[in-house]
Amino acid sequence: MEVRARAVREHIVDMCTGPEGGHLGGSMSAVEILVALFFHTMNIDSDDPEWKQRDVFVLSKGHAAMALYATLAEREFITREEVSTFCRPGSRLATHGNVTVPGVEFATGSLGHGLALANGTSWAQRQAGPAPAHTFVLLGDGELQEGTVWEAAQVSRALDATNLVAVIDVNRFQQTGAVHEVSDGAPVADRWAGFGWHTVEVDGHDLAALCSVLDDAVRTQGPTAVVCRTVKARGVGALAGRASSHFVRLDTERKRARVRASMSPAAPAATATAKGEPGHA
Amino acid sequence: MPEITPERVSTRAVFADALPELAVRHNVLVVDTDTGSIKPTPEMDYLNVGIAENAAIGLAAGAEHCGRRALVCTFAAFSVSRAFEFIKLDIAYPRRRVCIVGTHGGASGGWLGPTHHATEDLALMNALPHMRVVVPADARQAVALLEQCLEYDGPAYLRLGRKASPVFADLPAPELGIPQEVRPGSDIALVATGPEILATALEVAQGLAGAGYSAQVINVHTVDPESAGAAGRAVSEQCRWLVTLEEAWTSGGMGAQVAAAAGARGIPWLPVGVTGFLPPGSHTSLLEASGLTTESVLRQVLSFVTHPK
Repeated sequence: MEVRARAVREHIVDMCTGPEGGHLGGSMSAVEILVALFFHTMNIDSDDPEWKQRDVFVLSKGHAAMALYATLAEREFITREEVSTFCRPGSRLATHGNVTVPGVEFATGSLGHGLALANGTSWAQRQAGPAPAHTFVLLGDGELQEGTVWEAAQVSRALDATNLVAVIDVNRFQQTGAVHEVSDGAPVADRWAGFGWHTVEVDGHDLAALCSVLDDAVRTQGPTAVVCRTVKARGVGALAGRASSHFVRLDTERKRARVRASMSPAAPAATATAKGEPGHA
Repeated sequence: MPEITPERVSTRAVFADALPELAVRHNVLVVDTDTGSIKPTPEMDYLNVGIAENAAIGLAAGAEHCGRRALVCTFAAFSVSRAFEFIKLDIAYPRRRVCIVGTHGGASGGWLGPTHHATEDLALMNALPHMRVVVPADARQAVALLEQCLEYDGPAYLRLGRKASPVFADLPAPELGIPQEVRPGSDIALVATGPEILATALEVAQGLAGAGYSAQVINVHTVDPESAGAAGRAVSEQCRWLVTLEEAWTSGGMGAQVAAAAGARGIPWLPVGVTGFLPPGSHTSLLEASGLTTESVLRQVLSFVTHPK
């Protein structure tokens, strides 16, 4: 799976070299989460994306669509060649998740919708039988500033959504800076526990730990929140842990070379506490 | 020609009575926002998510994504405005088979006050592609149109009232999207939406007859742009004036759709609807404040046809 994660990161950088650019930071922070879900945890069929008994994945932080497209390519829902069409004329790969792409269940570019949608899919799955398929919803930590997330979280608890797992990508940055500087809130895990969710925390880049935690989450009664400590733009040393990685356009060869050089396995990741200039989507 | 009967029945009450059987027959998940307007039975799939309109719309969309048709029951004032983006992105854009029911439509919230009036709902729902926007003329139409919305292969908004409202004898059975000429006429077309308003239109037509004008009355129970063409065509070619009557703000509601559809004819148009935000008061007094009584509409129409601009 480490090899898959590296390949996903390569795809993401490839997409950022297009004329439109892309949400690099929030895509890179989600890579291991997506690889763990799509290659280890979820019961899905790339030959039948709408298989009735499938586990459902909801990308609530819709701006991480590049990471999802890249993962879907590695998982053979789409071809690897299609990744290079990202945001080019005629492409179905849009900056935010586009539902014409197999494996993309909802158009979630507007933040704060995914958990409410997941309440519906997980409810429908529970009606199908005593051993229901699961719904996994990936949220960003900036996204938790949307009130609709908590309205839906209350409903999940009220419905005892036992087959629902919320995975929170806590990369600590958003458009203009650090999350705690934009709108500080109680620690993420405390909030989910306070809403009555079974809550666990994990290193969001440790694939083995992620798989183990997700295995436990699937077996847990009641809705479960998996709070993942991550690094924004993880794997790109030059940009890791910086708000400026939020939206990146690698429109010059110098930029591309610099980013690619910093992606070598030996390059150390920058400390997550570093601050950078704001990026602009 | 339909007559206004002495009977008055609440469209919301008949909805509550009819829904359990219809929901089971059509395998519809009912999602409630603690409105108190649902009478759940054990056979129904019923989820009361509490005071959470966005969560209700999102849940219904997610369930429909997995193959379950859904109905969401809300107060019109709270679903349409508060949850508009959820309706836009999760229901209308993907064309989901979800029926959103809004109770206390128009000014029927009455003394509950302006926070509970829904006079913007027709315009907002009309703005959304694919959305059917339905306002039954009476209780019988409410049940028939509810079932048609549940069978419709796409999104629908069904506006209901609150308390008892007019019932019409001999009103033809409704068909989604098809307007109903309820009184033939050749001078002035009165196009009406909603129980109180259709009653007023029929009374105004009689008043106009006394003043020497022949008034056509059309009941428009499906007010969306998709139906507007049919409503525009329903206006008699002999009519020289168009008057639209609705319990809603006139920007974007039924009148705006019908006038746009009939616009090529160059027919002069008088829109009559709710004016501004309404104060607390009885439903009747709020209609008076908006000039939606028989006397007021008659006066407005006569002024309109006798003083060309």
